[in-house]
Amino acid sequence: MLVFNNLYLQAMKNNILRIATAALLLVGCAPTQEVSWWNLPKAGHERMLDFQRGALIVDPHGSALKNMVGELLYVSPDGVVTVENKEGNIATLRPREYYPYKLHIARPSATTAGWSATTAPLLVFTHGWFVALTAPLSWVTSGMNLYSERHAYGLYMNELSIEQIRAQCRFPMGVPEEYTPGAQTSRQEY
Amino acid sequence: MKNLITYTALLLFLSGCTIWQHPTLTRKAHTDLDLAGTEQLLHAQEEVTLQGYYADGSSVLFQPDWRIINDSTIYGSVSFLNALGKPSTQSYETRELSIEGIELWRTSRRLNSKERAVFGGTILMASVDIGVGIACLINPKTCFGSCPTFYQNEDDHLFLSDAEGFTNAILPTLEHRDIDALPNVMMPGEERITMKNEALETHNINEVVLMAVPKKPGSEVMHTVDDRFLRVVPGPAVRVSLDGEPLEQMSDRDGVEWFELANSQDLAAKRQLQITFDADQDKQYGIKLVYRQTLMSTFLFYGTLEMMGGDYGRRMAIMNHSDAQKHWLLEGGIMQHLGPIEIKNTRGATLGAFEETGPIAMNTQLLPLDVVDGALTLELTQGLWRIDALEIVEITEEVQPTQHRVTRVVRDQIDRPEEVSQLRDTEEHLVSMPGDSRALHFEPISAPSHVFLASKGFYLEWTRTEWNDPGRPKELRSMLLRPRQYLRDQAPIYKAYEAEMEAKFWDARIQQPILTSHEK
Repeated sequence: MLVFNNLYLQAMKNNILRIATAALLLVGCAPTQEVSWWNLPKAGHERMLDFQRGALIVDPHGSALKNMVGELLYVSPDGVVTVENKEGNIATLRPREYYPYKLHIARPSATTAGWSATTAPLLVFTHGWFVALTAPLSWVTSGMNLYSERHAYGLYMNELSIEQIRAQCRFPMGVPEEYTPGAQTSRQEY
Repeated sequence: MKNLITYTALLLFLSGCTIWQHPTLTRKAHTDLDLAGTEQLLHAQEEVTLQGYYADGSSVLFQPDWRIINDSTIYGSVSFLNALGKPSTQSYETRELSIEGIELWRTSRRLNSKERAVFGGTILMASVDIGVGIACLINPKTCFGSCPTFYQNEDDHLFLSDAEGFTNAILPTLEHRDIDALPNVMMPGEERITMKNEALETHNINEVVLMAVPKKPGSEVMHTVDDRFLRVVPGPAVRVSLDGEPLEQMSDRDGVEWFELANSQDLAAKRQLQITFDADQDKQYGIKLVYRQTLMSTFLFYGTLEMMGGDYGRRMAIMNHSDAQKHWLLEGGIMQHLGPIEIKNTRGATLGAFEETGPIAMNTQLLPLDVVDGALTLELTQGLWRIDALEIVEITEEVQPTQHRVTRVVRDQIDRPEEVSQLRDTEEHLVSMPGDSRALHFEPISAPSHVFLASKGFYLEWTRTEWNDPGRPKELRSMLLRPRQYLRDQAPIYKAYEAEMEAKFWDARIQQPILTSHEK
């Protein structure tokens, strides 16, 4: 029979917290993929004024974790859009293909905090046995935020004219020859 | 514990609720710098940046302090970006910049507090910003219609139309006869008019008749506001002034029109022009007015249709059988506040009104005056009317025009005898589709004549793609219930539209007719 004493639990808690903190910090420093929700400005943020990235195209009928089609790079005069997906590949979509999709131009201030769902169990060290209540609540709110983020500030592409789509492109005049898709860059926080 | 769970669950539920606000686009592309300026004007209380793109993808980015100096220069704090969107200069510099070489403009602004959701939430943004105004600018065909247009010169197009038929007959039960004076004297052997459909409409024409009165030297025959025909001779010189300043543009029918821009706070604001002339009490005078409406009328009309959205067809079908709704459309609602051009005497009593609608063809009409003392007031809605000429004429006699029916219809260089029958049979309608152009030949006249075109029918607006959505029923209800306030609310939106379209439309910078057949 294992016997846990308070000192042992205290030490274990501290180690776990150190590891979790280090993990979070490392996640924050690591280069992200080029296409990411993080590349969108927060709603209402002043960086919306000089934001240079393209809007994100999302498939509203896809699963919550795999519904991102890519970043809008360019739209041709006949409505064909060029997108870069999370894997760094460039693809083109004809109007009929992207009409069911949505275009997201901003992310809500309350972000997904997907991390909060994974770190919810750590609440045991602060909430004690109440974690049985607060951890599920945290998962619920994280889920709601995730839902909100995936649905906020979206425009249905079938309601947009070519000129309106053009305004959301990363390269309204065309993808430059020197552009390298999928390049590793540090995350831009807006 | 149970209550704690209940309240916690309620709190979580409420935290997922969002505030739904009127959706707008925050980044917009413009091919014309003036439209970017309009965006800045529309959001004068917010910061709007401007980015101009060159053909190679490089760009210049202006801070919100940018100002358009003239057609070719912008002033403001600017930085330069390469084709990848990376800054090529270290910081912003304040300077003037020539816009030469810039092919595309993009304006950006932040979401304001009303547009941001609480806790993120779900906000779906519509594609059309602030309703009809910008939609009209992006696609003028959305907000334009013309009913049948008539030309004495077959080579003329929309901007030189001589007459617009039955402008208000937008439903079958609103069909009526409309008489328009044609500007040129018609010679025997030239009894021919071109009729076109230059809008996204289906025209149903029941009748077209040419009415003629032989010309007499030194006189003119005019059509009155109550459909009589009077022969007139020039009267005394008239002086027209506004706020004490003389208006010279109305002295002759020369294509130089007097008009004012709309009031920026109230589309129904009125203006009074003072008219004075030396009146002989033994003579009967009339006011001859050459006028037309501005784009405000079509802006408001198509705005109403746009608010109906995809429900347009159903609503129009109901209105077709509702006298109350038709009365509201033509004389109630916002129309009662906009009103016609009214002529009043010095005691403020209304002597009559000019109320032909439509922004395309010039209307030449006569309002007979009873005994007057040489001082009149012309009251009209600011920004709704354009006046080319105002004259005082002396009425000499009433005349009856001869009626000349259609004898031949030519479309696509082919004679259409069946269409002649349709225009002669009061039970039939000739259907004209967008892009149709017909030469109508009439029974001959015996002498050079002043001619008038009587047309009867109705037309149906085609639903625009931009209207194929739920519309804005709340705004429509507001217009129906509080039309006066609606006209105040629409003022800033119309001002932005007016600033752009007045210049483009009336300066004929659009070289081709806006509308071609069967285009979206």
